[in-house]
Amino acid sequence: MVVDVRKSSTAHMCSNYDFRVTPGGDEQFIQAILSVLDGKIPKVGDKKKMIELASLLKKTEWGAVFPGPGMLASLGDRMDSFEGMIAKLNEITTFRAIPMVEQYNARGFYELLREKTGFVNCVSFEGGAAAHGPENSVAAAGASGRFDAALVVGSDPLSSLPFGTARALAQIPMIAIDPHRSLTTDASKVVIPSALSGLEAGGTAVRMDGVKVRFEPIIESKLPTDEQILIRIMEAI
Amino acid sequence: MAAEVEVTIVTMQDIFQDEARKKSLYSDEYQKYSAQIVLDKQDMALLKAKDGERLLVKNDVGSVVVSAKASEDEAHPGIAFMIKSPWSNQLAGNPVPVAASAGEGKNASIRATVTMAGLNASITTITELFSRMKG
Repeated sequence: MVVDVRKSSTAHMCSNYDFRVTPGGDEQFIQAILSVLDGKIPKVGDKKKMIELASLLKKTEWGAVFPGPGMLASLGDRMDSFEGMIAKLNEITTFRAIPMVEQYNARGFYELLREKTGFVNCVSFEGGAAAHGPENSVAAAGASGRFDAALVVGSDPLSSLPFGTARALAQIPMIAIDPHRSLTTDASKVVIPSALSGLEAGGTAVRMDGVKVRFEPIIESKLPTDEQILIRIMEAI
Repeated sequence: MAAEVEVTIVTMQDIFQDEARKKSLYSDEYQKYSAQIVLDKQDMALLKAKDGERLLVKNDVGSVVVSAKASEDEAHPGIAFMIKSPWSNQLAGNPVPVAASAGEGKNASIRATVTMAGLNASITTITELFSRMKG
């Protein structure tokens, strides 16, 4: 089954269980699922379809929920309702939640940051210790003018961040380490081409289902890896 | 006065656009997927817009000229869709950090006004978007 604000490609494949929510309507939908699981009439959605959905969920022997970035953005600080739904489902049968992340190995980055600092975002290493808070987001640092240089490794923030933050980054000296041309490399003072992860450079990536995968380089490259470049920079410093 | 519609823009990822981006961020193919807004048929009718025609999408953050596409989904007037890209990011305010979610946090909804762009209007190019950032 698919719950989305639009008829996605996945939704086309399961038309019998395709539920539409309005932007920001995830909380209401979760409450409706909890209601039907308790045998109550849901306040939102097609009541017949919701009751069928409850029946399907109860009959499931082993289920998985794949929450996407849209749901996380919609719920914000109200993630307890999602956690409550997963807990409720596990009172009935077995259900697991596997978050859908947007980019290759994004989960690896979040897991590593959490392992090292206890947090998955908005971390500052100013003063040598890890500090967490909204003031340490890239957007907040850009808006306040706190950063005056940036080292960007294997990503393209100028393409993916909102305009205000992208413009703040484009105004300061940047060093980009990347195997590809991007808006960020075009705006950078220094660009260091690197070996392509997973093909020319080995390492570990974490799949969206949490499985760690070890890569060995399968193509020879004269370009240094991200790790080699960072080590050399630290040696020079 | 030209008709205009107020919309909430939902951004999403798309595998075909991502493939085009990997080939080249500066390609016509990447622009085709990125510089496009999908509107409800009722909103398209209000604007008297047809598929492929140029629309001006603007709000307090910025503006872009993109091509129009009528949604094939069930009715959703007032809700529009854009694939996440430098074009949609021109209209996006800064995210609000949320402790429970990874990344920069919760993106505020994009509210924008859509009107027909002039007959001579061109789709905003990635070069133009880059110039605005370097500004």
